[in-house]
Amino acid sequence: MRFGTKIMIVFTVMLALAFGIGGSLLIVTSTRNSLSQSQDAAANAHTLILYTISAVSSAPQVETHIRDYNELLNALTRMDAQGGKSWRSLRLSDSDGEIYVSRERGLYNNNLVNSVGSDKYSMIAFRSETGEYYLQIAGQFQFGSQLMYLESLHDITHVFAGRQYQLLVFRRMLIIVVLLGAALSWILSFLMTRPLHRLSRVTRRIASGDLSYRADHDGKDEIGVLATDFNNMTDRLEENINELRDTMRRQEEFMGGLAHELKTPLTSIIGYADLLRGHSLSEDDRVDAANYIFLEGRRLEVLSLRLLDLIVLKKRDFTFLPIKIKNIVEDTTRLLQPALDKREVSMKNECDETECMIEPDLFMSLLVNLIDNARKAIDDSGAIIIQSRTLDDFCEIRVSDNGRGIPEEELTKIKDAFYRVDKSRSRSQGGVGLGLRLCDEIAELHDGEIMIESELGVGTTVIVRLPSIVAERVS
Amino acid sequence: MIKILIVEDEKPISDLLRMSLTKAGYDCSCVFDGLDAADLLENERFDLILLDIMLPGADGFELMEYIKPLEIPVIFITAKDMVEDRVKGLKMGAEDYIVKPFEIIELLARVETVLRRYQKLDRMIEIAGLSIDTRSMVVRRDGDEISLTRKEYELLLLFARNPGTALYRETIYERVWGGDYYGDSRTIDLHVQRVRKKAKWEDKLQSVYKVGYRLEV
Repeated sequence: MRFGTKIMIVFTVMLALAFGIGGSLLIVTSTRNSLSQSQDAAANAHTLILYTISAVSSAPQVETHIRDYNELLNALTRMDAQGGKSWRSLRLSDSDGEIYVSRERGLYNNNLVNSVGSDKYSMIAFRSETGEYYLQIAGQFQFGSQLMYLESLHDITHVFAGRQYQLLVFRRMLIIVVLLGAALSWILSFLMTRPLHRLSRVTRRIASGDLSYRADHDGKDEIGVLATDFNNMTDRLEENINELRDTMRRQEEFMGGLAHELKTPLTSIIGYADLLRGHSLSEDDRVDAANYIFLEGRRLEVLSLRLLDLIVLKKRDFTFLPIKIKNIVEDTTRLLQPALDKREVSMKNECDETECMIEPDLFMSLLVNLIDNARKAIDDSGAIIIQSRTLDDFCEIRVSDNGRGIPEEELTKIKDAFYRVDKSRSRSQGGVGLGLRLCDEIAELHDGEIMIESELGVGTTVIVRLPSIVAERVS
Repeated sequence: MIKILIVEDEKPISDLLRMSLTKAGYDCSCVFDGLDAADLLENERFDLILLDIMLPGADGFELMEYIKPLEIPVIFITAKDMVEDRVKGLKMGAEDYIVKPFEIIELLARVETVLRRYQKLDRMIEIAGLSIDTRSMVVRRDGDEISLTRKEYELLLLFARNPGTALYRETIYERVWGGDYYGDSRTIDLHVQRVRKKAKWEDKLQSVYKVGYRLEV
């Protein structure tokens, strides 16, 4: 069942209950009130008759010993005629039984007189067989030595008819109120649950893939808070999914690049081998073809080694040690010195005493790659400078060269796998376009990052930022 | 002579294409950059373009837009063998699509097919005393028609189109019969014998030890 329907039913039932109980109490009270008024009026009328008759009976000309009731009866008849609406009928009786009754004899209750006291009357209300309501009042008075009883019968049907009418009106009102209440609560529940509906619509839309969609959250109530939480959750979700997509895209690009890098040398190797085996080539062409097969084979070798490096990186169970950058740069330089000497490139180690948590083999491989890149960027002769310093919350290693530099529009793509600014030159220098990608992965393993600054014709500086030991100890 | 433009930035592959096509008797020009290709096309007329997709300057698809109005047939050469890329290439108006790595003989066959479609190949091939009419599929020696079966004709044409080239048995089988070669050389040997006899190529069509056959001219 819908939440709105539930609210509507609960509200309507409560309204009906409250109105029903209240109305019933009101009707009962009002009926009781009007009954007691009728009783008072009846009692007053009765008392009036009783006084009048008592006055008649205490008149001097009446002989109390004689059972002559004529005077009494006359007075009674007279009063009955005058009484009009105050009573329906009068009855006079003594201890032996009935003496006079004006009308409706059958309605009288004969036992009521027994409960009458000397200075109090008694009364009874009942319903006649024809459906009318009567009030019978009995009182006693002294007629000479005789104890006489006077009873009056009052029609109180109007009290009950009034109640009946009130009930009828109340029932109609109850129906109207319940209907109105239901309508009102329906509108109310609609208004209350509308944000929920909206939220669920948003949820469905997001579930169907439109992750950029958000719920409005202008309200400060629980639903507004829910919407805000929901939006936060979706933000997080979108972030994660975008990250995943990004990884997927990078992987796909990597695979595409890899396929290209594998197929190009393979095409050459297969093609030249085919030429060699099937054609009688000139001596020059034969040497060229064999040379291409050799070079492209070498290229595949380098590529497979680089790929192995990348695969090793994915294992991610390395031990990081606090090591002085200065020392590891020194070791790397010694390793590369022969290659650098060939190209008349000088190396300057300008590192300070900075210490970082690093995996020495990986970091050395990163340095080798960066220095190799710098060396390749230098055409004839030049200098590579390596600096390190500790800043507030990270330390920095800068590898600068005064080589060709990188055009600005290429800087964003340079870390992509298999990307080379100058393909043919990179080829002739034996590059496969994975060096910086490798460095990037290594830096990432160290929780660091790599940035590149470059100016065409002036040189390139690669900045490796690693978290400093101090910052790590604090955290 | 038929002029072919090779647009390929990988020097080894560009050289490979140039060597193979030159040997097959085509006149080749090589460019290594999309923009250079466009410059060259402005001044020179080519019969066919071999176009790599991943190029510096302007990539193959961009260059294709430029080539289209020139009505020069294009064969894409690429490492991308995704179906979408092929469809895209062909939809853009390329005549064919060759995926790296490819064999030279396959490349030559495709080049020929495209050139024939554009009727740029000579109708008549004159070789080793035979004249072959490639359109009516009639082979004559000194004016007399030689009757050949379909397979014999295709075999003869394969040799005629690759003179001086040692054709491997598997290559012959793939080109003439189609499908993969499983080492059954009897069919090929038998057909070669028949062609030799009918075309009077006894001394021209030589067998190459462990390889197959070569047409000496």
